[in-house]
Amino acid sequence: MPSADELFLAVIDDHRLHPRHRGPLPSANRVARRDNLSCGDICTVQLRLDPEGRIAEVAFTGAGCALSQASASLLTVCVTGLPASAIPALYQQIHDTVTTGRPPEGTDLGDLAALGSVHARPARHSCALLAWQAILAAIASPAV
Amino acid sequence: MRIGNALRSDFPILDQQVNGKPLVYLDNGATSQKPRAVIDAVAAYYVHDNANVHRGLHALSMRATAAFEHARTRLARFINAADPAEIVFTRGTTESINLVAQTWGAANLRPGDVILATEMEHHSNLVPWQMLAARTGATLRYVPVTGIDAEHGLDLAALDQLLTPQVKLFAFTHISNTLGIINPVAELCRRARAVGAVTVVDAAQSIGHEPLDVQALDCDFLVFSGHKMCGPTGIGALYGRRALLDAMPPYEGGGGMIETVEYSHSTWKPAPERFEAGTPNIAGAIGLAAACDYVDAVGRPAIAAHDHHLGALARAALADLPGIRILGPRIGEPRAGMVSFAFEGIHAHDVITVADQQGVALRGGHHCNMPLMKKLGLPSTARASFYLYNTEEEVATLTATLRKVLKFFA
Ligand SMILES: Cc1ncc(COP(=O)(O)O)c(C=O)c1O
Repeated sequence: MPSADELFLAVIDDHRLHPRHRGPLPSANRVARRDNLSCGDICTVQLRLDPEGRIAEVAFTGAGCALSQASASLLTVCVTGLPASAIPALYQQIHDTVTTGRPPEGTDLGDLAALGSVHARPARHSCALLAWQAILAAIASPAV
Repeated sequence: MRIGNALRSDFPILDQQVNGKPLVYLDNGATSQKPRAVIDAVAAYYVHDNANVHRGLHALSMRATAAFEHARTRLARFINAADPAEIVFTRGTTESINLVAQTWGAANLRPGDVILATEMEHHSNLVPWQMLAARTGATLRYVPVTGIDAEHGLDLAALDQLLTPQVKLFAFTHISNTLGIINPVAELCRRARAVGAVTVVDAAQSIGHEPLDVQALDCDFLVFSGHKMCGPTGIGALYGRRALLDAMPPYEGGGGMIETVEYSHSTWKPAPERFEAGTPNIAGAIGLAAACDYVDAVGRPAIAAHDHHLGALARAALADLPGIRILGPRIGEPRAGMVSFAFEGIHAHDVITVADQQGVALRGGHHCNMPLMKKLGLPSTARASFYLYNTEEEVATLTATLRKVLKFFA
């Protein structure tokens, strides 16, 4: 069956059906959980920062709608290897993509651009952003 | 009988495509659509009669006042209140409940008193009582909902233990907006009265769907919103027994609710004006009166039979879908015109998004009933809710659409 909805573009559908880095991360030294109270989505992001402050490993656990979980899976692929200090700016770009439908001028978000497909459905912006809010909180949290 | 397909042309909004498919509007539990007669009544008021009420001596003001007070009388007749003065105009169900809590509740509750609600209440018939309990020192208790899918409704056996003489107020819904369960309002009122408790009936889901007679139900307060019965948003009412309303302190202060004002103090008008400070929603009241006329021209017994039929049809059709869990009454048991359901492994918001792509409008989430969803172990459900213009074909479209959802998320 062809995509029933522009929300479920090939990229998002792929991550929904084959989530990457889903499960606990025993070596993690940062963790944060965010809940979407309105729809019951839950996302916990665990990551290991190396001594240089880079995201060496990242994984997620949670439950919820296809979009929230696919977005978390996408996140794990895209942030591995990035310096934690780059996450707040990346979050802003994702946020703008989700709310306007397009990545900001001059940025290349690769597969993450697919998250822009949600922009016409404001009630679901929070689903797409949940994992990103969790990682923002995780990098700001004290080491565990 | 004029119902279903025969009256769809009265509702201009239904004649449209959504995402390239004919609109199938199954979110009537949230709000109903409006017939041309209601839209025209509101427009005619603004075109011909608009003025402020109760104050002016000129022609337009007198016309507006007459239309506004006619609406009150019309609503009284709609629910068979003994006296139009028992109808207080509000913004809707939520404001009506808060009004009772803040006036009757604050004046009558003491520490040690009990407020009784039920586990199936909408947040608007729950949070105001929590706030009132916190303010007065009263205790809030709940009549349990029973059955793993809440199929048995209220635990009426537990009610005897719960309805002690400490219970001063018993607030409960007529029809659950999540479960489609129809509560035995008259029996609940009778049992509450036996211990001296005042009753508040939330008729948000039954107004305009079921015949309603406050004298036969023998309730003390009954609350509803106009927008769920073909009327405009922003208008609804509180019905209160005359003796109770007359003894209640005012709600908001302002113009329209006072008899005399001095710099040091004021005196209040009798009910209902005492509770209607400020310029009211005049156009809304007029639209709501037109909605009463429309609904009664179709006939509430016919609407109820139609709703229940579509609810039962959907309940039975959806039961065949793999991995579905359906809340509320089992097949063959009485059910209002709605079905809430959840699919194993598919989030309700995904169901609704895909259904929307097919032009089918459903509701999803916790339905303003977070504690009940938690008790049932569900993060959210999807809900289809029916009204007088829905059809058997639309139930078939719903079922076919849900099959597509299942295929998509397989
Ligand atoms: C049972 C019930 N009570 C109260 C309400 C609140 O109604 P309103 O938002 O119109 O005040 C609703 C509306 O969804 C309802 O279904």
